[in-house]
This record gives sequence, structure tokens and C-alpha cells, in this order.
Amino acid sequence: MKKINGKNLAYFLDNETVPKPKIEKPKQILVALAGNPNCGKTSLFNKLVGANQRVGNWAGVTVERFEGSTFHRDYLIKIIDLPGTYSLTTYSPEEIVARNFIVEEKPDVVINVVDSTNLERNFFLTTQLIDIQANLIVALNMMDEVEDKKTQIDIGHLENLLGIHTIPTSAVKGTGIEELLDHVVDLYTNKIVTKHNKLVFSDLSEHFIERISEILKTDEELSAKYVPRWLAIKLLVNDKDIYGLIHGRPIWIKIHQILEEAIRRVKIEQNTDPEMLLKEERHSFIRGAIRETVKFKPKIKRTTTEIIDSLLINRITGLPIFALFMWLIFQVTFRLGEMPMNLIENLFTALSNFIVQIIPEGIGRSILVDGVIAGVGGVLVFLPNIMILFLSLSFLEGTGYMARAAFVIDKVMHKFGLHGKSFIPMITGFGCSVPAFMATRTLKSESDRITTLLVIPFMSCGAKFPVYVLVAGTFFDQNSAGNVLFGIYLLGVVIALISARLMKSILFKDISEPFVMELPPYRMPTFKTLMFQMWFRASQYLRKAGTIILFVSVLIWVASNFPKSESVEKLYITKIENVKQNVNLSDEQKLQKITKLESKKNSLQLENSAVGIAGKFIEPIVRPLGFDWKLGLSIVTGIAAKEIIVSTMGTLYSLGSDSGNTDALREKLLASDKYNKAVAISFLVFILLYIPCFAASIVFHREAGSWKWTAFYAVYTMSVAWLISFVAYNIAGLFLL
Amino acid sequence: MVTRLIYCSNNEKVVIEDVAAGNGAIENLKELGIYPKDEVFITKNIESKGPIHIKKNEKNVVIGRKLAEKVLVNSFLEQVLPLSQIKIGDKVEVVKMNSDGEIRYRLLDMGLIKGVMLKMIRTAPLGDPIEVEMSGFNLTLRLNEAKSILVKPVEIEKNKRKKFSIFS
Repeated sequence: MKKINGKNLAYFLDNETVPKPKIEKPKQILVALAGNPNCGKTSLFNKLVGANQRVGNWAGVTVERFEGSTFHRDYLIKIIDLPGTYSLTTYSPEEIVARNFIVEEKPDVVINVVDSTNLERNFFLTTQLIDIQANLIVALNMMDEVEDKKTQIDIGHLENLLGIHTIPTSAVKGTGIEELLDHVVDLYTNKIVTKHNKLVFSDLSEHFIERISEILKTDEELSAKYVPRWLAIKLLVNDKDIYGLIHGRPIWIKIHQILEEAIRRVKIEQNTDPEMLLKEERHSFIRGAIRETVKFKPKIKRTTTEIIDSLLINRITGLPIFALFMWLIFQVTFRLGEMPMNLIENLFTALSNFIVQIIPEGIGRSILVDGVIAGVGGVLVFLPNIMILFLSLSFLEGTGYMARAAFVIDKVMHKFGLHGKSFIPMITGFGCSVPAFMATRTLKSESDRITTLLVIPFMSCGAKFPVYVLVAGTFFDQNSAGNVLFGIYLLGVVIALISARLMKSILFKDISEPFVMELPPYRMPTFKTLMFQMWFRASQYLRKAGTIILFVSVLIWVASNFPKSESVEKLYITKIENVKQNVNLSDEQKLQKITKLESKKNSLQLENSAVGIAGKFIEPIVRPLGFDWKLGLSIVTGIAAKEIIVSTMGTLYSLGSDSGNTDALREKLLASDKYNKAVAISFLVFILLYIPCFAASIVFHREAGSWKWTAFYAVYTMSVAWLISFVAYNIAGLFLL
Repeated sequence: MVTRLIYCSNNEKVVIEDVAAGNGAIENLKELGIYPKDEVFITKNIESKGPIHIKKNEKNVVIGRKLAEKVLVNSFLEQVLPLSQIKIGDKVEVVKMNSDGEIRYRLLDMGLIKGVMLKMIRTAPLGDPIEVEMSGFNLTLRLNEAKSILVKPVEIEKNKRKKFSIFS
């Protein structure tokens, strides 16, 4: 017995060694890695399994499930990297996933990865794993940093206290890995044992834990599956899941009485509730254990992290440095990404040209060139952006600046119901929605992630820029065109922030992720981890989104080429023949006439195609916005990709081979009496706000994880675009005509 | 115990100790008729905002919040106040955690319980959130979230202006 603060609290651990028989088991071991966020768990996982890993999703939640395998001493060791959690309560999807896996799947060995520089917080999870009686090994990770700090950990004593084999490791230096795997095999083959010590609480707490455990033991079905003592502790700390598990059973009546008694007595004797009491006692135990086993060297100098922080996030330079980093990420992603993007585009153009030369004209060639090759190119073209962005993001995350960036900007974001971490995905949206949607993965809470996903479309993406330049440049003089452009971007941001506020207060009833977050020490991420992260996101995009994007691209090609009107085709072929036969024309004149006729034909065919029919169909819907069917049709094709809008307009105005020539298009637009400044503003607003391209929408669906949200996203962006355009058209009509 | 004037409550009698600021601030205080070792009576101190009203020898003196933050006093009572009101550099002990819902679990799981020592490290450039040091790691919280954590100051940052104070 020990006395702390004069209270009679027992903090000894009982050792009940149960020798296990040595039996021949299958040579396959299921191992789970559990640990706090920022404890180096992922690095250790990468060291353990190398590239031999897969990723999926845990059933029912958008938490990623990493698993890998390795061979050690003839054993196939399958390792599941559980999400990083501080605890095994059921407050976040990560915790539920981690707990359910350990409790329900009962892995052969659980490796508890612990940040040795921060044992006090990390052991909270360790003691919970002890409660579950998992077959536990502790990996004291980041030992290299402990040695640097000259802190001493008495590992032998620690092993005795916890009753768990404890192996010092360093994922960064690669030390302790072999030994860890040795212990996994030894524990599995019963060469060594986990003592299943138990953490003994104070007399008062133990009294109730014991009584509840006794009753739980009478329920054979339950006690066969779960450790009764663990269930008892969980009931005392108001765990909702365990309550749900037990309250329908006959034993509940008795347990309920004891729980009520516990609440009463703890209130009287300790002036608190059982939940708080147990948690406090657990922390006190941990503090005691650490006092006995760890010798800290008193800190004299400021740590490197403190020095860096005093420069990076102080009151004066904090915001400018933050802005600089964000600007850098944006520039690197989209400016540096431009080169490989152009390369990919040129490569695919060359490929198309090559195929055009070797395969005769026809539907087959058209499908191959305009459908498949254009589609594959359309998928690959996003890759440079995604790779560079995720390289930058994992660098920020790995060094520890990501948490600080959120810290710096959270006040602004929180005003609109968002989290500090929403900032990066949102500014990425100015470049391209595809990587922006993917970047929302850094947000842990579902409501924050969905809200951020839903407002990213309003951050005007780079592909819309040519449309703005064309329209604003045509209808406004040079001076005001710049202001119009700026206004459009600003409007996007305003709509995004208002939408975020609305969604947070209506859809999520002000559920807000607390900003309780660790600011981890600055660390240098390893090159390998960065490369892995980058490649991992890229391959995920290619496999999960790329295939669908390709499929949809082909579909859009079909929709904009079929059905073909035979009569139009025939009519124009004869017309072209006639020109060719006409002896009165010079060759140059012939060529001019033929080009004109061909573009007229293309324009008519597009009008007759499924896309064209859709464009005409929506005309009544877009007429209140001042659009004719040609603008409507451009908007429809813009759903495929925003880059197409300008070229569609070129086709519709029969510019033929001139369709890339915006000057010619400008003249045509100005010449039309249907268009004016109000229509131009309305059109710009609509392009700014309506649904992003198909590729982005598919990525959205992947990230949001349900059709419900994808449907909402489509309806929301469309209605906002319509509504604001309508308002803009009518207001502009009053002032600009 | 030496504490900040702003941490003290209404109707408390305290002794002025020092001013944790440059000479200008001390002069300002002297102009108001307040000198070190003076015994003053706090008549009005509204939580986290507005000036502080004190009484010295039946004479009322009003001290602006900014200045009062730097005035160190000797108090005989124990101050308990929300973490959100603690100034940078001060060390406090957690007395009670009144948070609810998810945040309560988060804080408990990270070890923020009664008796834990915290040090206020900094506020974000825009004044919110805040960063506190716990045993072994640094934690961020929004001011609103820090409101429900009651603490008692145990060690006040007494340094007059630090050399590189703009960097903290």
C-alpha cells in the first residue's frame, strides 16, 4: 500500500503468472499495433513490413486500415496498424475501430507503441490495454530521442511493474526491430508470457469493480468473450457501448443497483463521480510508475522545438510565416506541377496524332483517340498536382508544422464553423478541387471534413480561369475586367464561408471538433516516409478514382458524339463535295469554304447529340439567368471538365479549326444581341459556383463516403449557382445596361 | 503568495509587490498614488475585462486592465480562475475540469485531471487558441474550451520584459 496525498490508494500490480503449455500452432501470427498519435507508430509499421502493405477502410467508417505482413523465423506475421488513439473509449471512430479490433478480433499479439519521450501520456493507453488483457508487448519507440535528452529509463523495473515485455526501439534509426519480432514469435509460441498484471485501484473503486465483476462472471456467454473486470471498469466510467452490451441482459438489474450505489458513495466520500475517480487513479498510478522508473535530466536549455516555435508561431511573425508556407505549397503544387502536366498533355497529343496517322478514320478511331486516350490523359494530368501536394503535406505533417498551421489560423476558420486544419484543403481548391478534396483527409472529425468538402467547390479552381478571361475580357474594358475577376474570386470565398457557417449550424447542429490537439516536437521526417506517402496517395487516386474518371470520360465522349444525325452528315458531305468540284474556286478558297462547312457540321452534330439535347432541355431553366441554349450547353459540357467550356463555345459558334482562337470567339460573342454585361456577370457567377468537373466529383464521392453527401453536393452547388446567378443577373441588369 | 492583481477577486486585501514591466509602468502606477508595499483593497474586478477598481486609504483608484496584468501583489487567499484568463509564462495547477461531452473525454484521456501542473506558453497570433505545456507535451485549446478548466496560479512569470519578448 502506498499513500498519496494522504489518501489510501493502492497502486500495486498483482502478478498472476499463468504458465501456458507449449503447443504447436499454425505458423501465422496476427499482430495489432496500437499507440497514441505522433508516437512514431506508422514509421515503425513501415520499418516492420516495408512496402509490403495494403490499405483499405475499416467497415462502416472513413478511417483507413493499413495492413502488411512480414516473415520472421518461418512465421508469417500479419500486422494491422490500428489508428492512433489516446485512449480506448468510444468517442471517436478511431477509438471504436481500435478497441473493437482488439476486443472482438483478439489478435495473437498487440504491440503497444509508446513514445518514450512522453511516457506519462502514452501509458494511459497501455494501462487500458492491460485491462483488456491483450497479449501485450510494449515497444518503447523513439529511444534515440530519449538518449539524446539523457533521460534514463529503467526498463527492467518497468517490465516488472507492468508485467509486459518491453523493447526499446527507434523506427528512425531502425533499432530494436528484430528484437521486437523475436518477442512477437516467442510470445506467440509461449516461450515467454505476458503476466496479465492488473492495475489495482483504490479500495473504494476496487470494492465496486469486484462486486460488478462477480455478477458479470455469472453470465457465462459474456464472460467467455470479454474480461469481466474490464467490463466492470468500463461500466463505472459510463462507457456507452458496454452499457448497450449489458443493459438488455438479466444481470443488468443487479449491476444497475451497484452502479447507483457507487455513484452515491463516491460522491459522499470523494466528492466526485466514479468515472473521474477511476481516471484520476489511473493517472496517479502512471505518475507513480514513471517516478520509479524514469530519471529525467533537468531541463536547462530551451529545447530546439521551443526555439523554432518562438520563431514560427509567435504573435508577430506567426501569420506572415504561415502565409508564406501556404503560398509556397500552392506555388509548388501548381507551378511546379505545370511542367509535368504539360509533358503529359503533349505526350497524349502526340500519341493521338500518331494513331490518327496509322488508323483510318471512323468511329473506332474516334473512340480510341477522343474517348480512351483523351480519358487516360485526363486522369493522368492530375497526378503531378496530387503527388507534389501530398509530398508537401506529409512534409508539413511529418515535421509537426501542420498542427501549428492549424493553431495559427484556427480563430478565423472557427468563426465560420470550420477547423484550423480546413485551411489547407480550401486554398488548394484555388488550384484544383481534386487534390483539395483529397487533402481533407487531415481532418479527423466527420462534420469538419464533410463541411470542408462541401465548400471547396466555391474556391475557384484554375481550370475556370480561361473562361473568366474570355468572358470578362470580352464584355468589360481592361480596367474593369480585372475588378470583375477579383470580384468573382472574392465572391467564391464569401459563398464558401457563408456555406460553412450554414452547414455547421443546420446540418451538424454546431457539433464542433474541439481544438484539443498536441503540438508534437519538431522532427525531420525520413525521405522514405515522404516518398511512400506521396506514392501511396497517387496510387490510391489512380486505382480508386482514375478508373471511374476514365469510364465517365468515354461516356461523355459518347454523349457528345451520339446520336449522329445522318441527314446532316449527308447534307454536309454533299455540300463539301460540291465545293471540291467547283472549278471556279482556287484551292485556297476551297479550303476556306470546306473548313467553314465542317465546323458548321460539327456545330449541328453537337446540337443533335445527347449533350446538345440536354443543353436545349435545360434552356428554360437557365433562361432566367440570361443564358441562351448555347451558353447552357457550354455549362453542361463544363461538367465534364471546365477546360472544355471555351472549346465548346468555339464549336457552337462554328469557329472550326479556329476554335482555339479566342479573339474570333470574342467578336462572335460581342456581335450577338443576346449577350450583354449582365449576362456576362451571370455566366461568370454560374461558372464559379456550379458543380466541379466529373473527376473532382468522383474524388468527392470517394472522400465523403456516401451517396447521400454526393447527391447533396450536386444539388447544393447547382442551386447556389443558379440562385446567386439569378440575383447577380437582375442586379447587374439594373446597373449595367 | 505572489500573484497578479488581475487574478485576485473582489473584496480582497492585497499588498503591492512589484510591477513585471519596464519603469514606465511603475511610474504610471506611482502617478496613481500606488507604491510597492502599499496595502490595497480590491473593490471591483470583473472577470477578464474592464479596468480594476482598488481602494487605498479610502481613496478609490482605477487601474487599466493592461497595466493591472503586470502588477504583482501578495495575496493571502487562494485564487481559482478559468485557464482562459491565465497570462503567458504563468504556471497553474488544475483544480477542476467542468468540460462536457467529447472535449471532457479528450482532456481526461490526455491526462488533464485535478492536480496536474500547466504552464501557459503562448496564444496564437490572433489571440486564440492557446498553447499550454503539460507534463511532457504541449497542448492546444480554444479559449472557449479553456474557460471550463478551473486552475489556481502557483508560479507567476516575474520577468520584467524579456530580451526577445516579441518572440514569445
